[in-house]
Amino acid sequence: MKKVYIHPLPVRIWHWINAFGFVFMIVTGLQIRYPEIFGITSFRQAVELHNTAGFVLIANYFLWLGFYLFSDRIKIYHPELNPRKHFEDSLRQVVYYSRGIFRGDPNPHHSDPYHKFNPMQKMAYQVIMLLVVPLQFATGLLLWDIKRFEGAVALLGGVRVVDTAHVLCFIFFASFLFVHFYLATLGSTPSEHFKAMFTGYEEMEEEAGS
Amino acid sequence: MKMTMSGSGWWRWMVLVAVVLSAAGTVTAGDSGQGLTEEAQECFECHEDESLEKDMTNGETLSLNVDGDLFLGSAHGALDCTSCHRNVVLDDHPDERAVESCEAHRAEISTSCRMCHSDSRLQEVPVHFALVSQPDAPACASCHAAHTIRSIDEWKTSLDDSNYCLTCHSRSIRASFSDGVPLALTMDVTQLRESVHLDHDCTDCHQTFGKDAHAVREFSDRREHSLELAAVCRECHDDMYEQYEGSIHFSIIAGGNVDAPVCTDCHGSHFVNPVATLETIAGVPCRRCHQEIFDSYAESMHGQARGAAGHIEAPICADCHRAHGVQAASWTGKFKAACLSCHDNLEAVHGVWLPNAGLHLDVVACPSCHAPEAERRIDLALFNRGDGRLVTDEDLQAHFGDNDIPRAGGDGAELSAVDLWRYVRETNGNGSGRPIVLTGQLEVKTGIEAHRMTGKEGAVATCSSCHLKGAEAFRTVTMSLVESDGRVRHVQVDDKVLGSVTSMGSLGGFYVLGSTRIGLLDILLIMAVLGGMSVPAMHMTARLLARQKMGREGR
Repeated sequence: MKKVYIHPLPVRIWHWINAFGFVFMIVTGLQIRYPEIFGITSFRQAVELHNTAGFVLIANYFLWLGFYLFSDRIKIYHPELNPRKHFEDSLRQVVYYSRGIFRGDPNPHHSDPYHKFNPMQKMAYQVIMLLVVPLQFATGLLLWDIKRFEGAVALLGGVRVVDTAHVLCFIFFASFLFVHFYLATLGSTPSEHFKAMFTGYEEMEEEAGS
Repeated sequence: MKMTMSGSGWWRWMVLVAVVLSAAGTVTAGDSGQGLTEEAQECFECHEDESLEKDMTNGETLSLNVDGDLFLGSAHGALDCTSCHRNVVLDDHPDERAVESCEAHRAEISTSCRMCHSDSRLQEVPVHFALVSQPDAPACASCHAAHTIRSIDEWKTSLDDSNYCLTCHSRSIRASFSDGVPLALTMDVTQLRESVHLDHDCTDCHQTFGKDAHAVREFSDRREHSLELAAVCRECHDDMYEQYEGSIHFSIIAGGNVDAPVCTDCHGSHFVNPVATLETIAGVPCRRCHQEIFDSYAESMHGQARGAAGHIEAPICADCHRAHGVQAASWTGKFKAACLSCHDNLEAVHGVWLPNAGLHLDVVACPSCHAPEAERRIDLALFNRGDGRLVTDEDLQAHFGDNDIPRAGGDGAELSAVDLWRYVRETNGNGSGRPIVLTGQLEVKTGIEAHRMTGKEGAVATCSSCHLKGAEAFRTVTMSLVESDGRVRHVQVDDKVLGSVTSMGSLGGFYVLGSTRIGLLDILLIMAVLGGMSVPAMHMTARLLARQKMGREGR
């Protein structure tokens, strides 16, 4: 086994702030949306905590964005421009998760610092980081002070529409967390990916002959 | 000295004295150069006695004294006394005929007036004829006096306009409307002198009347009369009248309901109060029609401050509703402005504890929190962003016709989310910009409750009173529509519209965290979370089973 430096420090900082922040946002969001069910704190305090954590996460997002914009590591998000190759690679990954993994087949994707994500992960995180997360933050920002952004809110169809978009993103992340957590256990050991997100190093099986 | 008019010996003696005195010229000739008639001279032998009196049956005492000089100078100075006193028989005078009262005496004698002043002569002044033709018209002598009567030219025309009018209207006279209801035409001179219109002549307002004109007019009822006269106020108070024309009161009248107030209903007609008296708890005219609301106001912190505490700066009706441009309470947006005119730091004060204070102040009517005992509701309205008006019945009629306009609740019918969506879609038509939006606000259910305002100590300050599924205020939903007369009608709406996904297309601008959430999203959340948990669980289970199987197979 060899250790490969997959997760640079800024990414690890961003990740863990983001991870705990999203859990916090989901909990306070549930408290705000379902005050008759969740009694963790008062409605007002939940709103205030939710707003504060939201700004922390927005700032954190720009940490992530800044790092990748000014680093060659951004290649991990570069899309595969050959549709045929993208389709074949993705299909191979689907076949692995749906069949090969049960038979003990090796993961067809081998991570390295510039190819951290398998084709499906890459596509998913492109959508998440460049569409869903910004949408979540933008709608949250509008809802934080509707009066201040009333022009934009009206342009988007009103506060109900903005809130619905915010909640749809929230629903996505509430569901995604379970899947993300599960996928993180699919390393060579269940805890390997978790450790790597602290240390930055992933343990990789050495290529034959190397 | 009181004389008992009986005894023929006394009478004959008096006649003899009268003849002697007449001959001596004690009764002088009038300005006309003519003297009293012989008969009159004879009568004055006794009736110049200042102590001459007659007891009426009702206990009154009638003076029988007549000033000969004044009589001679009167319009009737050349007449015989019996020309009017036709019941007097000189050969049998004084008699002992009983007379009920002084007024009855005047009425009896006044019948003689018609001997000369016939109907045809009286009809030359129709309003006077109409007046004296009434069954209970005052006796002629009551107005014109008896023995000192003067010609109208000499008596009235020299007076200024108002005093000319008061020669009649200070007396107990009245007219009747077509519906038979009487109208007192008597003016209280004392009140007139206390009015702010003290310096005005009657004809300034009653412009079709004067010394030369007094038409007989027909009014079907008192209200028609008031409506016509109120327009006169505009002559001087044009600015205020213009404000009034923009008021809900004017709109109601224009819509055909003439019970709404005109100028005189609030200000009075002849006793026009100073403004200061209209702005007191006791004197504010609004309470005449809005008594229940006023009582509620009087109990409020504003009413208490204005009344008991005597703070003149505390608001009274006109301070919020405006005096002349009175607006319907709902959805004008002007009421928030009224609050802000005193509480100018409202957003900052609320912002200390209330997140998004400005937004709350936009969509929550002040009484919703400051009338804590009030029942509340969500009121929706179709609002035209283009002209800043609420959509009216006429607007809806243009799109839907008469039969499809929502009427007031009560028949159990409620508007659904689809109905609201249809109203928004149809009223916007195919034009660009979509100016018609359906918006909502939290308000109290009745105007009575809305006026029972309290200070911040008693106000609602708990988020959960609204931000909670099923909160009281969100169980009642209405939609405001403006009727043709400007009043706002509240139509019942199914409270499920607040959480309907259909409302995305109609009620996009109104959303309250926690209480108006879309139910479909709740279902979606549950499914997503269950999916997010079950897919990994199933995958993991399958992996474990596969691993066990491979272990058994020795792979």
